[in-house]
Amino acid sequence: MLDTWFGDPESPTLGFLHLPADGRVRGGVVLCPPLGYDQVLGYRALRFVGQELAARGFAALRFDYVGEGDASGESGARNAPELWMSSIARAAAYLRESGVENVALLGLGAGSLLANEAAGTVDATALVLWDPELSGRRFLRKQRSLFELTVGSHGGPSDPDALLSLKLHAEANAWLSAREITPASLPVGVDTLIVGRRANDENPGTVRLTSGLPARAEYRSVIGQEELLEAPSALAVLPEETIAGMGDWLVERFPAASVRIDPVVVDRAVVATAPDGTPIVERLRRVGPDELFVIETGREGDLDSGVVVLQPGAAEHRVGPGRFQVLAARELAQRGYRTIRFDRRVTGDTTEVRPGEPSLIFAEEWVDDTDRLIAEIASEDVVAHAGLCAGGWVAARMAERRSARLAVLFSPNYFKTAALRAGEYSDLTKSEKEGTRRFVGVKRLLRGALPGWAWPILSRLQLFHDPAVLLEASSRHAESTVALLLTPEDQENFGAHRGYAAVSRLQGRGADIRVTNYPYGDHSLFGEEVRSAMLADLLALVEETLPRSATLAAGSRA
Amino acid sequence: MSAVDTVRRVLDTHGKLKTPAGALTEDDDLYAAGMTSHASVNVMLAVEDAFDIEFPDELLTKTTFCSIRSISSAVEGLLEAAA
Repeated sequence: MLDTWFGDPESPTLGFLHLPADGRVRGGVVLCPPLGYDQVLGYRALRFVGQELAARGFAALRFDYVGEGDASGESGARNAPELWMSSIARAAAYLRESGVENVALLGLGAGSLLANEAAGTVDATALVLWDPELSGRRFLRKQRSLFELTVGSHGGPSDPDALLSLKLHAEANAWLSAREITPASLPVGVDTLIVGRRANDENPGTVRLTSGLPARAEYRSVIGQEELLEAPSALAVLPEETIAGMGDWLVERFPAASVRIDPVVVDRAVVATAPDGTPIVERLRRVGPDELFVIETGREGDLDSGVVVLQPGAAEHRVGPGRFQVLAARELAQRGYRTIRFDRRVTGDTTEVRPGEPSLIFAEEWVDDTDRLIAEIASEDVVAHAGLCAGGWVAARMAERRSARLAVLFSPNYFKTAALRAGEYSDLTKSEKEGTRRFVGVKRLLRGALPGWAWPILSRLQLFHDPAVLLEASSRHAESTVALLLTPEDQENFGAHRGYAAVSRLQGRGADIRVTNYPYGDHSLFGEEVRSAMLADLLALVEETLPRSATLAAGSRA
Repeated sequence: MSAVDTVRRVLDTHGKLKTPAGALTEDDDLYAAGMTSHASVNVMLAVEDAFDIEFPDELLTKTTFCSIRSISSAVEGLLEAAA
């Protein structure tokens, strides 16, 4: 797989090109990602599709729409539809410029609405609509409802139009709302495969589509989509048979003859400009034996500043709420800091997707990955670590393992230094979902009833969570600051585990531990207000504790 | 078919419940019976299709979708308002 920037140099996007082992391809496929939370849950699944297509002789290109994920640009732009369409067109153009003659589009979820719209303009050879949203309006109602049902009043000073994991300008909302997949909207003269959910077979939109399919379109009803896109990310199951079926269908639409292609790989892009006119540059790297995918951000030419390492929550990536890392990286770069964001093993674009691979949430492997990253590219630098939930736990563990000037924990809820084994978090999530998790009631009872003297003794055994254990370990080095950023539900959990008392005790011993309690916000940071507030606090903490580039520091003194 | 029967049928298709909707009382907690937030949105959309209605924003709460009775009541209220 090749990592490359492509598209308009003024607004570059990031792509990942899957190629057959012999470098010869029968055709190209542009994989159009979904919008909303499907983008988070479907990320590794689309990577698996890329792998499967490469195994069938295709060059498959995954990418982020401009304004989303690691691409340049802001989300919520008025012209987002234009950016979505031009991103697809540029992806197709990249494949053709590499030497691929025929290009197909494959869209997932709401990405199908966009792929269907683009198929005619990019002269697609074939079109696959995977678990498509048949109506933009219905998709937006779904995202709106999901926001209300999962975040609701936790979202903060309310945005009455908030969507889950998606920020849309009113004009973009209206454009998307008007998109539909119907017999009349399918591209004329393009072989089209629509792969829909069996549970939706009787929906009016599905019935209307299937009852009037044009000659070159085929509809397949499948099971297993809910297990991919509606499960907690740690429990998601890849629908291997469905993916193989789409790959085989595409093989039949392309000539067997293959050609060698010559893609251009660009590992550096200017993604923004600092107020003083200095370009903000992002560089792609692979690090260590697992080839961790890394993006370094900084002011062009400035290499002497402190480094901030950013990590997402759960096994996620940098789309949806996880895009806070991209915003933080570019904001910090403008202020004169270098940042690193990267994919830990079994996430994003590090390590091939293997069906059934174990989740490494709260596992020691992710601490080892971060440690290797620091050893290889920031061993001489003053470092800060920041991460959401499981990413924050890694930040704290890194502050314990190597001295870190700053560790910022967004929404922390796991306070042991003892890691989980690979796959254990998924097992725990599953047992909690099924109501079979053991000792939960006993532990809750113990937490409430234990006398003060017995708490630290039992907590050292790490039979239950005691924030003192993680905080003491992460603040043990001199000149080290640990900051906890807590939403209301995290405050409740922190308090129930005697976290505030632990902070007071450690502060009394000289530890620099800061706690910020937000009056609103959800744990996963879907709410934009809490995400923005935490981002602002991260920037302030970094500016307080880390050395900025000498160029900017000299400028600010002047 | 009554609103309650239709809601039960929709729940069986989209609710991801651990037990068939027919085995639940009208007041049983659907979330406790295994319905996730995603599943509740799928239920909402299927109920809208079945009755040709649209839940307004103020009804997009966990309370609306917490039981067969609460969903049916919301549906009946919307049908009455539309009549």
